[in-house]
Amino acid sequence: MNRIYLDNASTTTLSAEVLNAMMPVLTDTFGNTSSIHSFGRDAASLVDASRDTIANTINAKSNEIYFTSSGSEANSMAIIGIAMANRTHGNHIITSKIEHPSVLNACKYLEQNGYDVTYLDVDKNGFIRFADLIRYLKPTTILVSIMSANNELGTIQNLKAIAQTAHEKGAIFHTDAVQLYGNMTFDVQDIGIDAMTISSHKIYGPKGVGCLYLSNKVKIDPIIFGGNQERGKRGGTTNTAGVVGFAKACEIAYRDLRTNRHKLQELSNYFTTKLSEMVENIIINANVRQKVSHIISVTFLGVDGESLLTKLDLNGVAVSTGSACTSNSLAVSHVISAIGLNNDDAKSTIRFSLGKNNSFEELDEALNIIKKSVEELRVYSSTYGAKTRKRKGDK
Amino acid sequence: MNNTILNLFNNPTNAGRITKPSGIADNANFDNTAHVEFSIKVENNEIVDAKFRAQANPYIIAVCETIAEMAKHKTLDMLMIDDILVKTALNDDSDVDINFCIDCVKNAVSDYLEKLAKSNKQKA
Repeated sequence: MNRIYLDNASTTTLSAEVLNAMMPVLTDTFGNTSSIHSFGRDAASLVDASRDTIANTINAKSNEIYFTSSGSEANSMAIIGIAMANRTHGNHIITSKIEHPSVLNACKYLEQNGYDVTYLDVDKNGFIRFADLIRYLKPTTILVSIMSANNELGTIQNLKAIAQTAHEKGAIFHTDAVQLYGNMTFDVQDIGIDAMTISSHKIYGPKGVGCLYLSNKVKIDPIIFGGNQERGKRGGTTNTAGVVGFAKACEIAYRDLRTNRHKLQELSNYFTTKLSEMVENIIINANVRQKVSHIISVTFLGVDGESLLTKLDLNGVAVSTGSACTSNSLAVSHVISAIGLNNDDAKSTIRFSLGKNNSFEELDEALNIIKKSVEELRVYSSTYGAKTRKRKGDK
Repeated sequence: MNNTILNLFNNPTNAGRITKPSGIADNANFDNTAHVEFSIKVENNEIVDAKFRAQANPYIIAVCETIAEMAKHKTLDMLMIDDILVKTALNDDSDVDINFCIDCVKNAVSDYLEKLAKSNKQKA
């Protein structure tokens, strides 16, 4: 059975070029970057070069890149570290209801520790409302954290306008760019980003490494204590091979940006058009132009998302639900709920995320399997007929 | 999810609805994230066929498939299905509440008995 991977927003395969860049580091350059001897200096020079590479892709300075173990760590570092370091200026933070759990849970932690957090609503496509942002900004607002592109919908926020609005009130702007970095050019100076999270394994790099871009103008407290690694902002021995692989993945992402974007757009258009033709009673969520093309959220009316996911998996197609699953109940995704889908539709939602290695032939095969699986599940769905009759009645 | 559950989910033999059922009922779990329906055919006080429909996750579909299979060829007074029996058949030791599925098939029996009582009353 051929296996087709349509879950690239969860993680991507390791690129061969990246692996080639990492192998000599894994085998030969094993020194600790903090060591004074030549083994350590060799490793440190690789890490410095990697820092330069990544900084160049976003028009930042090398000393504004802090390596972490993941995007989640970088988000936690940004939210908690900035909030703590800027406590004397205020205790209010603004974020949105559709952020990654690493942002939301960091905010909850801060709430438990005396901070005040505002969670902005989003519209049906996942965009924050500027009127809300302006309304909730106050003199005590120290940080605005809004993700660049949503991991379930793909919606791209208007970062420049958010940054400008935050700055006008004296707030720092952080963005979780894990799903957008590598899919769009980034100029942190031009956009006005003060802090930005990037993850390696979303762009065909190794797992276990990410980074936080942090403007030199922004104060931050460490949340992981150790030696003087990452200029005292993040303790722990540097993952040299991971960092080198990460930088290589960044270099490739921007070297091939135009080609990959074009390919992903074509794949995405093909997939959504064919899916709409082949499977009736579906809703393509956040079907807007301002989104990353490779993330496609689809609601299959009358079909349980986890059952569809399992059936697709049994037939070789890997996707995600927009929901966290438990054995007997689907905890409805906070993102899908936030865009206003009702409980039934939310638990019928699947996320397809395409990658640069997918082919049209794979999509054709996947589409046939999706059609067959949805039809099988709808044959004995206890709600499908009633649901579609109701929809038609609504119109 | 073990292979027994996966196999039952992927190849249900009792999925669907009986045409002109003797009894039918539907039910949902506590947070309304799973909806199930059972229909039964009764002849001479025996359940000769049982089918289910569901909008639910693979586990609940496997549970319904098992319940339908257990219900078949039982006389109404011998329909003693509980969660321990079902979970044993599924080789499952989870603490997932499946009573809403079991209640559903029992409600289908109640529906049949109500219809029968009504019909008998009309005849009398």
